[in-house]
Order: sequence, then structure tokens, then C-alpha cells
Amino acid sequence: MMLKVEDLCIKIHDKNSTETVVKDVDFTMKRGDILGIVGESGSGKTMSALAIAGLLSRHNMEKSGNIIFEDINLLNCSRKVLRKIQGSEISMIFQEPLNSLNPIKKIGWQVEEGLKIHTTMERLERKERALKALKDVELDNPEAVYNSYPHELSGGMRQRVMIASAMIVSPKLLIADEPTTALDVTIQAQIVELLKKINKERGTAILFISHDLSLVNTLCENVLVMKDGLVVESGKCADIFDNPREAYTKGLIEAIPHNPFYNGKVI
Amino acid sequence: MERSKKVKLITGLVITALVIIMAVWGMIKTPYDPYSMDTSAKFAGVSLKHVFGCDQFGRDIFSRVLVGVRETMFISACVVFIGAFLGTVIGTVTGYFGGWLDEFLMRINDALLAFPSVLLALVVIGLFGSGKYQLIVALGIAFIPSFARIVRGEVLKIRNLDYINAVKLYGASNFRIIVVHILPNLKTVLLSSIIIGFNNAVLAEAGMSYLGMGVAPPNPSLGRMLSEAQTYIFTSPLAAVFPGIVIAFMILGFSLLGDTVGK
Repeated sequence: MMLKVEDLCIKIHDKNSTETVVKDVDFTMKRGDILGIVGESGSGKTMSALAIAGLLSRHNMEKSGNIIFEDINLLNCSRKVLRKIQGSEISMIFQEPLNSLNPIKKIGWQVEEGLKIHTTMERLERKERALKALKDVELDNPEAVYNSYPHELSGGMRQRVMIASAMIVSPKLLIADEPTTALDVTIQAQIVELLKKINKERGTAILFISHDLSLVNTLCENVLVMKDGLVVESGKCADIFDNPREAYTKGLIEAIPHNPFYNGKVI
Repeated sequence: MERSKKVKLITGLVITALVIIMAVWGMIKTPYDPYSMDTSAKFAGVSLKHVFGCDQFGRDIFSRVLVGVRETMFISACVVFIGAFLGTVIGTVTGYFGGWLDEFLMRINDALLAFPSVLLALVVIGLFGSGKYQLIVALGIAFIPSFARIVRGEVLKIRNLDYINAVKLYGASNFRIIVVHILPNLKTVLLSSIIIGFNNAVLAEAGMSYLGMGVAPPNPSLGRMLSEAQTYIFTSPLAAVFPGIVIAFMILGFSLLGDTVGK
């Protein structure tokens, strides 16, 4: 098992009250797996993902359980170990491509950031790698993108840039936190295709978080359904879509807008 | 850029350039020695010989204004530098790390902000004596809190953006995140607050020197000249008018610049 999450609980302490945002979440991922997490806003999907990525702040939050990544428990390892893993083994792409790039630095510079921190490559070598990474995410003119600023790119291009900079260190696990929510439908499909290709060609495991069930269905093998911090249902995507056991899952599936041309099937 | 903004920018640049030329002129050479007295020219009016007239000791006001601008600019620049530098350091550290350090430093900051800065400067001068460098330190400390607040707010905003999370995930250290990813994003905010701060520093310096706690006589500074001239304001208003006009112009120029920069 590459990633094993056991009894993950996250509690946020406010001044007077304590709120549990994630309760007893359990799941495992093998190399090359694609796991989807679906659920409504506030169901704890993003919190779980941030916990796995090690991005939750260490104050006013209580985390219990285990997140075991390649035999290292990310919840209680030292900061140094965590940073090493963060840089080279786990990467993440975010929901809002507008905020996930530094507005005042050129794209190339940002894509190279991972290499700058973790390797001793020369400038030219880094540039070569960055250009290749930009080409791999199917950007038309990598050279031009390399020299532009984030505000000069469209949302879809920015999300591709994010994927390029997340993949440049060749991580084993890519966490995608609603990567397509801010994009329009055609671009969504392209990004999902791209993630699929990355998964197939490089064997990167992907933890795909979304509230769009049809996307999850096209991309993932396994799926977790979360509600109010609890995993209400999990298993193979196909099984769950064909005969959901929980009322909540049924509700989610019914909420997908149906396309008459597909006879009400989920695409 | 819209027209009104352009006009503001150009006027601001011209006025500021004039003031800076005066300061540089005051550094290189003045038409008369600003300290030498000439009893025959006491209270002389505006003439070709003395363009701004002479004061109660017969010293050339124009030369004194030039040197005064130089002194005022130097003091204000140092004050803003101290305030902006330490304010940025404190603001970034507290905003980025949060926790008890943030609480602690920000409460001190609030306490400092609650004091009028002149009063605070008086305390420092009371402890260390009056003089140019004491004034710089005193006002510099008084200027830290406002910078610290502005920077902290901005850092808090940036810290929670996704790209900081992204670089954290590339394994960047806190130091690298602060220096490489956060500080450059503070540029615009800092630039406009530095300009506004410079204005306040000019006024504070003039105020302190007017109260007799800044530059020591016979050295001129704009505030000092105002305070010396007020005794004779009805017999010879020139000695008060010109330094006053120059102060007003300095503030006006920087305000116009500050309005256009960073928006």
C-alpha cells in the first residue's frame, strides 16, 4: 500500500466550541490508483486532502489517526521529513487556478520552483525540464507560456501550468482538489483526459476530489462518498453508481443534470 | 491612464523633482553661507541679491531653505527607512507565523499606536537628549506600528492564497516562502505607504523641530526656521512664509504621487 489513511479525525478548536470536520476516515491507495472523493461543500473532502498533503496548520487544530505514506506517518513525522516528502512524493493542484500562481512571477520561474528546491540542476537544464513539462500538459506554445505572466493566460491554461509544476518533480501521489470546478465544461473534459493520461503514462496515483459525480465516474476506479465529515459509502465507482445503498448517494446521483441524448445515463 | 490621474502624476513628479533639486543644491553649494550673519541686511526684503530676503540676523533665507530642505529630507528618509524596514520585518513575521508571537507583538504595536507619535518621540528625546540622530530614532520607532499593521494585513491575505500552499508543497522552507514568494508581492502596498509615511515624517520632523526638539540651532531645518521666524512674524513675515511654502509643496508633491502610485 502506498497510502493508508486510518481513523483520520480533524477537530478545529475555536474560542469556545470544538467542531469535528472529519470523522474516522479510512481508505487506502495503491500505486497508480485513481480514487475519487465526492460530497457536498463542507463535507470534509478538502480538509482530508490538506491533511494528507501536510498543509493543515499546526495551531488550533487537533488531528488524530494515521496517514501512512510509504511507511512514514505524515501526521507525526518531523517537519524536515514532511518537507522532503512534500517536495518530491506528493503534489497538489487546487480549485482556483487564479490564486494558485504567484501573480508577479513568470510561469517558467514558477514551474521550476520544485526543481530549484530539490535538485542542484543548472539553469539551462531546469529550463529544458520546465519546457518539457509544459509540453507534456499539452500547452500549444510552451516557449511563449514559459515567458508569460499568469494574468496573460486563460483559466484552463493556468490549470495546465499548475499540473505541469506539480508533475515536474515526478510525484507518486497527485492530489487534485476540485481542479475543474472553476473551468467550463469543455476544458473540464480536457483536464480530466490529461489527468488520465498522466496516470496511465507515469503511473502517478491521483486523489481526485470533486462534487461532480459524472467527472468522477469517467476518471476514477474507486470512490468515497463523504457527508458531514463521515465516509458514508465507498467502493468501485461502477457499483456505487449502479446501485447506491445510501439515500445520500442516491440524492447526489439524481442531482446530476441529465442529458436527453444519453437517455438519462450518467456520462 | 485617465486624464485626471495623469495630471496628478505629472504635477506630483514636477513638484517632487523641484524639491529634490533644492535638496541636492543645498548639499552642493548655496548662494550664501547659511550661517554667516550680515547686520546690514537684517530683515531685507525680496531682491535680486537675496531672492527670499533675509532673517533677523541678516542670513540669506534662500540659502537656509536649501539647507533646511536637505536636512528635512534626510531626517524624513531615515525615519521612513527605519519604520518601513522594522515594520516590514515585524509585520511579516507576525502575519506569517501567527500564534502567541503575533498576539504579543501586535499588542505592543497597539499600545504604540495608541500613543500620539509626538508624545512617543518626546519620551525618547527625554531619555536620550535632543538632536538630529535622536530625533531620527524617536520618530523611526513611532513610525514602526503603522507599517507593521499594513504589512501584517497584506501578509495574512497572501499567506492563505493557494500559490503559497503550492510552493509549500514543493517543499519550500518558511524562509524561502517569505523572502521569495511573499515579500515581492508587498511592493505596491509598501510603495504607497512609504510615500504617505514620508509625508507624515516631513510634518513630524517640522513639528518636532518647531517644538525645539529636533535639529539644534544654528543649523536650519524647515520646522526650526518656522519656529525662529514666528517671533518676528509681523515685522518680517518672509522668514516664515518661505519655509512654510516649501513644506507645503513637499507634502503636496508626495501626496499627488502617492495618490497615483499603487492604484
